[in-house]
Amino acid sequence: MSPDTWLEELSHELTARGLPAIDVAGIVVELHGHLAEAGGTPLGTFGPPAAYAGQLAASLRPRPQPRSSAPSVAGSRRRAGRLRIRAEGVTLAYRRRPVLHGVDLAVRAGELVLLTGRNGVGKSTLLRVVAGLAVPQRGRVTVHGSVGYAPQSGGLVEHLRPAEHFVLFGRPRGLDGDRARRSGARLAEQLGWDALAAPVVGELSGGTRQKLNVVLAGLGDPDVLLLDEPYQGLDLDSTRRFWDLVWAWRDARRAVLVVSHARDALGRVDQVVELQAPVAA
Amino acid sequence: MSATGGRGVGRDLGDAAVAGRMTLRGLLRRRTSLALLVALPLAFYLARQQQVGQSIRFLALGLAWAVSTAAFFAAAAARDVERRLTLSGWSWWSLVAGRIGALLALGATLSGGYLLLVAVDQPVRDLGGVGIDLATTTVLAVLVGSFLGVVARRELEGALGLFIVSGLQFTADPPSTLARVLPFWSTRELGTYAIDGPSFGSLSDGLLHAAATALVLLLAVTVLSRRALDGGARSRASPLAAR
Repeated sequence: MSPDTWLEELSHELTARGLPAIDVAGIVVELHGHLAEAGGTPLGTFGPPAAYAGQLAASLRPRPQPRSSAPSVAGSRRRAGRLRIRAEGVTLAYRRRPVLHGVDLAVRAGELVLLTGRNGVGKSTLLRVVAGLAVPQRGRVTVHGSVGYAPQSGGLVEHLRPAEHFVLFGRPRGLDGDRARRSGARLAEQLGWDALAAPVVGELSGGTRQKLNVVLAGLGDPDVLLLDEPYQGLDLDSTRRFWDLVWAWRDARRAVLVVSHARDALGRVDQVVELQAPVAA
Repeated sequence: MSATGGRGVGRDLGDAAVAGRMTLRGLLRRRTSLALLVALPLAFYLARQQQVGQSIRFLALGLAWAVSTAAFFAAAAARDVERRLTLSGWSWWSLVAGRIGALLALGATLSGGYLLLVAVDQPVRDLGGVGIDLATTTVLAVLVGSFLGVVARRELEGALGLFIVSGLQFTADPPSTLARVLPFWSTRELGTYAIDGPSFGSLSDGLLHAAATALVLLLAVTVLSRRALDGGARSRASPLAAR
């Protein structure tokens, strides 16, 4: 069975199970990308379309435990604690091209904020400014507490294994080699990934690299988590696990700032900040 | 403020050892690159193997080229991850010291192997002098590569910079001013001392040039690495205010 035929049959099966057309389309696009990246046949990877559609439909049904779903904005505001991130009037230009203009942002402990907007409006740049990796020409950024940062790409050593990354990233957060490996493996397991058996980073798929980036950001329980397109390239099950992990961090009073332009993220966060493109001078 | 930013020196040294070990692991897993690293000085040596003096001079320049290239690519590859690690709490000093230490260890192993080769394959007048030549060349090569790794924004730019430095050192007339301002002038001078004797090359001039070059490069690497890596930590420690 060709991948196109498999995806078409899956689409019919999902529609027959009552999933909205827009969700079905999103699933098909995502699986198409996943198959192109990971290789292999859809039948070998996911099994028969009907059976996989059944699994997907079951996993996408509303979850019985309210703890696993994002509370309303008002609910989160009640629970949110001290201010962890404050950005005021952040302005940054790159080679005279305005990227950010007068941007304000506030994220509190126990709050999950989505930073969204069109491509090129400066979402990742703002995250880098908050992380201290880029310096704005104007404005003020204050971050209280330790920071875990997951970049959209890069930030890893191609010839080191994930377990060796855990040792490097865990060390400044007070984790010795064994504890760092155990903590990293535990976080990776929450994303459905056996990190200790993984080869060097250069041999990992794009989605698995993003899982590693997320794990490294969360290692040692930092107060502030900055995640740039963290589930880009992740399959559906891993995406669901990712949100479970992020909600757990939020519930543990961490301040979490997620950059994404994925539509499904809108309903999963406490607050949405949409960046607008700055007007050129 | 100290280079360690007020942290314990012992802890920073421990961190540097971990960073160095990880750098070495990463380098040793690049089997093909490692084989080419060994092959480059060997090819230069074998091309002039029949001439005692020229074979050793070319070996040393090949070693300079190979080790500086390895140091440059190690620094360029580490740029993103080192910034991320300083954000996680590493001191910039530990990361840079660990990386440079790992490359020095790799270079020392390489130059030690080649010294052994020269000892069994060439009737050298002063083997100790050759050892000094290869050792200083290794140290300078690590620092030249690390310097280019911190100033060149892209790999191609840095690689071309290396070609210019190493190529010019090959072609420039040793007594000329141009040859003397290049970083590997001492390689040639110390080689001549070891091969032809003190009447033709000066040990003290060679060592002085190597020490001065190493000092300048080390200072530049330190200042530029701190500027590149320490920004994130500073802005988090206190509110970042610009105008």
